[in-house]
This record gives sequence, structure tokens and C-alpha cells, in this order.
Amino acid sequence: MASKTSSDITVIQPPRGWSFPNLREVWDARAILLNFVQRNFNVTYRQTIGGPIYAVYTPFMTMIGYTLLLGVLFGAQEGLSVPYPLFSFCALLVWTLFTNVTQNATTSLTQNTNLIQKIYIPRLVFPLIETCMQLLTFAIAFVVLLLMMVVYAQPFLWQIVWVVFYVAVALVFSLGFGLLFAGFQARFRDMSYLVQTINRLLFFVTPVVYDSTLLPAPFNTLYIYNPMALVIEGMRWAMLNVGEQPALIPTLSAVGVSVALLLVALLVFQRLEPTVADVL
Amino acid sequence: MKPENAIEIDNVSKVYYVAESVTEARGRARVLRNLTSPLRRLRATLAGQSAFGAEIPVKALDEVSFEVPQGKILGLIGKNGSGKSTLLKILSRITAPSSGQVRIRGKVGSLLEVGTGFHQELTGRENIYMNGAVLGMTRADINRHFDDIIGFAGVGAFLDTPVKRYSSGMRVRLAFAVSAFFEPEVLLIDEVLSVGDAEFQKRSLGKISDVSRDGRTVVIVSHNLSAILSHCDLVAWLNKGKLASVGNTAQITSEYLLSSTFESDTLAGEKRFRDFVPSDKYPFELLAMRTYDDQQHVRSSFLNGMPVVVELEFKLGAPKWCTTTPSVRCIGCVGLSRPICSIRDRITSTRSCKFTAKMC
Repeated sequence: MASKTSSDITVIQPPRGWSFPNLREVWDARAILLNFVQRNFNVTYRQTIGGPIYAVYTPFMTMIGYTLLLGVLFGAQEGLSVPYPLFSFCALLVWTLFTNVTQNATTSLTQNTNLIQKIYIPRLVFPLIETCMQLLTFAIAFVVLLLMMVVYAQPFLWQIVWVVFYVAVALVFSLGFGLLFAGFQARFRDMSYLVQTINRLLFFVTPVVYDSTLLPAPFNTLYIYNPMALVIEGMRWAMLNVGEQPALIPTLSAVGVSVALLLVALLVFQRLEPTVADVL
Repeated sequence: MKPENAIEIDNVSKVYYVAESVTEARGRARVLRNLTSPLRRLRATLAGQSAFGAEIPVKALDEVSFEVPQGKILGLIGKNGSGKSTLLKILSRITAPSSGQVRIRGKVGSLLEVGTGFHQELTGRENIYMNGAVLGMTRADINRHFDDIIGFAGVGAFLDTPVKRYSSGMRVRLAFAVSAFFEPEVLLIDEVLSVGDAEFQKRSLGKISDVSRDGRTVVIVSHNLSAILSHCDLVAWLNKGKLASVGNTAQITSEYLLSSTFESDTLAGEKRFRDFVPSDKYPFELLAMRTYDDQQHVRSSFLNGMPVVVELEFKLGAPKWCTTTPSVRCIGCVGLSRPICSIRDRITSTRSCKFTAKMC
């Protein structure tokens, strides 16, 4: 309980110019964030028979689909050092993380209109809730990947620790992407369609279900500058020892692009935040 | 910020943009123009302006300034659309003011609805924690009050049942119970007193008085003037976005009541009656009624506690069937939700009568 003689003074005034969100305030709201993550997680799987199985449902089913389509019909297995299901599932995990974070972060304010108009919670909390939820879902799916690796007798290597790094890059990039659109989505509901379209297009230029060595001349060196492509190549190397670890320059570029995107997105989000309750 | 104040509101204004009403053809043309210039819209959005061009600014709050001293309960009154809720939204930081500044000392909590964050699928217990967290209570706070909350709400047996299986009354009681044990230093409340049955309302109002006895500051928006009268230390009256007055509860509540009741009166303090009751039906015919203050001035607005002289002018005829001297027993009751004055007098004159009542 706060002390009654507290002299903390809250000053409420019109927003001025560009600024970053107050991260201390977000940190103070971490109890709310955890409660929401717990609530959403509980609610998502309540009154289902499958329960948390649905956390891996999408990437798993997509993996089966692509295994049948590309692996069996189009012979994508050829030239791969690991079984195609492992090859695609490993990438689909991070890809699902990316699309879910971007799309859910974009709609996180509009989905919580009731709350936003009735109580003040630092608005940055809402996209963060979605990010945490997806990270949790990713963790469950990751366990399934580990199980699959055991089934396929895939050896575990020391470089698996790099997974943390690549997932972190993916998270920063996705959150930045989603945050950039979240504030605008409150005004123009077109944004979620735009984000879906961008995601779909990115899916084709990112080697999620195909091997990057299949890319033709200029693209086989350029594709890596797509941060998600770097993350996926990195994940495949860390988990399955496919190919080489992404080189330093593309790695720094991916980190730089992701961090810059997140910073810009935070500025834009903060710019739109003060009046978001009026336009939702 | 002055040390004795909990809230200082300084020239606060809030402008909303409302779509201008235009003819259909012009409206279509405008939509097309705006659709084809997304860049202009983006620029307007980033500048915090209306994104769809020509819209009329409406001042929901216009240069409002007042202070709330520490430990006081302030009632915000005013008609619908007077800006009460907008001001409360600014105080609770839901939306930012367009200009001006608000300073609040201490932890702020707002109850703009009961059960914010409630989820149908969660059990009563889970919702208590969820709602508490959303309000800003720590887990320790909730644990400390947990038994009191269930006791207050009276849902003990259904604690582990999903809220969607609750009756609507149970849901509201549970939601309010959590709020009742929410103890920020500055509490902002919007009309939440109107939930539940009479007994529950009484308990919740009592809870609010307890809050301020602990030295906490409360701001309440309510249309329930008797609740305002009995619980608020001071009142701020908003009229069309402007602060009409702030101060003594009884005085301002009366002024507000009178302003909204007698607004359309044409003759100050005098009302002429014609043909209310056809004179051939009854012997009593009311001709006029005047109200005076104690200085014998005719006036129509009176403050609580002021003496009112009421004069009735009438014609009293003796119908054929009446054998005794005609007399009128006057039993009057003036007031809105409760009597402002009551008259019980025997009138024997046949012309007019005057009597003094006191506003209560």
C-alpha cells in the first residue's frame, strides 16, 4: 500500500512533440501485464479439449502441409542435410512468432477499447501483453521441436544457445513492426489488413519453407539483409546445424534495423498514445 | 503545488472534433478527396488533429480551474454533456487535455465502471485478482482484503465458478466489492454508486465516506444529488464545459437545482393561473402565486435554509350546497425528489393569503 503522505506529483498536460514512452511507468505496471498474460493464456484454452495443444497447432499443421506439398510432391528434401519436417518446423516456429506478434500488437489497442476508455494503464502494456503471450506460445512449440529432434535422432549441439539471440532479434523486430502500426490502427482499421499483406509478401521472400541456396544470383546474397531471413538462417544453424552461422555484417545489420525500427515505432506510438482513447 | 491540495486543475480545456454536417454530395466529394491524400491524413494524425479534414472543434471543457484540498470529497455536478466525464477522464489520464495542466499528489485510482478487466470465462477468484491488478492493487493488497471482498459481495460459495454462470446482480456485487477495497490516495468515481440494490448502495456510499476519513481525496461524478449532499464536502458545478461555481455543497447544489428547474420561468417569482380549474366546478379559483424573500422582494430562486413567503391570490365562492363559511385547507408540497417546503395552514379569507415557509 502506498503511504498516505506520499509526495509523488502526477502532472497531466497536453502532449508536446516527440518523446519516448515512460518505461518506468511500464515497468511499474508489470503486475498488470503478468495478470493479463496469465488471463489470456487461461482463457484461450479454456473450454477446449485440446488445451495448450493449440499453441503448436498452426506451425505444426503448416509444417505438415508444406511437407506434403514441397517435401513429397516437389522433392524439397533433395540436398537437405536434415529431414524436411524438422527443416521447415524450425523456421515456421519463429515465423509464426513474427506474424502473430506483428498482427496482434497492431490490433492490441483496438481489441482493448473497453479497458483503454475506462482505466489508465500505460498503453504500451497492451502490445507487450501480446508479445509475451506469443513468446509463451513459442516456448511450448519449441518443446515440440525438441521432441521432434529426439524422434528424428537429430544431435543437440552447443550452438543451441544462440537460439536466445535469434529469438531476441525476432522479438525486437516484430514488436517494432507491430508497434509502428498499433497507434494508427486505432484511427484507421485498414492497418491490420496492411500488416497481413506485408506478412504474406515477406513470407515469400524469406526462406521459411524453402532452402536459401535455391535463390538465384543477386538474391542469394541480398536476402540475408531481411532480418527475419537472418533469424531463420540463424535458427536452422543453431538448432539443426544447417549451413553456416550468418556472417557478422548481416547480423549487425539485422540487429541495427530491428533496434532502429523499435525506436522509431516507440516514438510514433507515444505520439499517438495521449489521444488514443478519443479515436478508438 | 500547494501543500494542502491533493488536486490542482489549472485552465484545463479539451477540444473534440465533430464531423461537420454537410450535404451528401459534398460529403462524398470530401471522402474521396481524403481517400486520395493519405499523406495529408497521416500528417494530420501525427499532429493530433482530425484526420478527415473539415470537422468542427467542440470545447467539451473550457478553461476549467479549481482545487481539491487533501482529504475532501468533491462532487462534480452538471447536466448531461456539461463535461463532467471528460474532466474525470483527464484526471484519470485516459485522455490528455488540449491545454492547461492538472497536478495530482499521490497515487491516483479511478473507478469509471465497476469490474474493469472482468472476464466471463474466469472464475470469481481469478476475476478478483484480475480486476484488482487492473485497478492498481498489488497482490498483497488483494490477499489482505480477500475475505472482506467475498464477504462484502456475498459470493462465497461461487468463488470457483466462472463469472459467466453468475447472476448479473452477483457479478456487479463482486465487481463493486473489489473496488470498495481499493484504496488509492486520490479516488475518482463516475456514477458507479448506481449499481446494486438499495442496501448495497448504502453500504458502498458508506465505504466512500470511510475512504475520506482515512485522509484520502475523492472526486465523484453523480446525478444523485442526495448522495452528493450527504457525502461531499464541496461541489464543483460544470455548465456547458465551463466551471459555473465551486464551493459549499448545499449552496451550489441548490443553485444548480434551481437553475435547471426554473430556467424557463418568465415572470420572476410570479405565476398567473388561468383556467386551471373551471370556476363553475369548484368554489376555489387560484388566480396568482408569488414568492417573496424576507425583504418582500419578489424572486424565484431561493437557497436552502432561506425563508420563503408564498402569496396565493384566489377567489373563493360559496357554492349553493355549502352552508358554513367556506374555508380552504392548504396542504402543499414543493420539491423535486423530496419536499423543499411543506405548508399546512387553514385559510379563511376569501381573497388571498400569505404564509411563510422555510426551504429545507
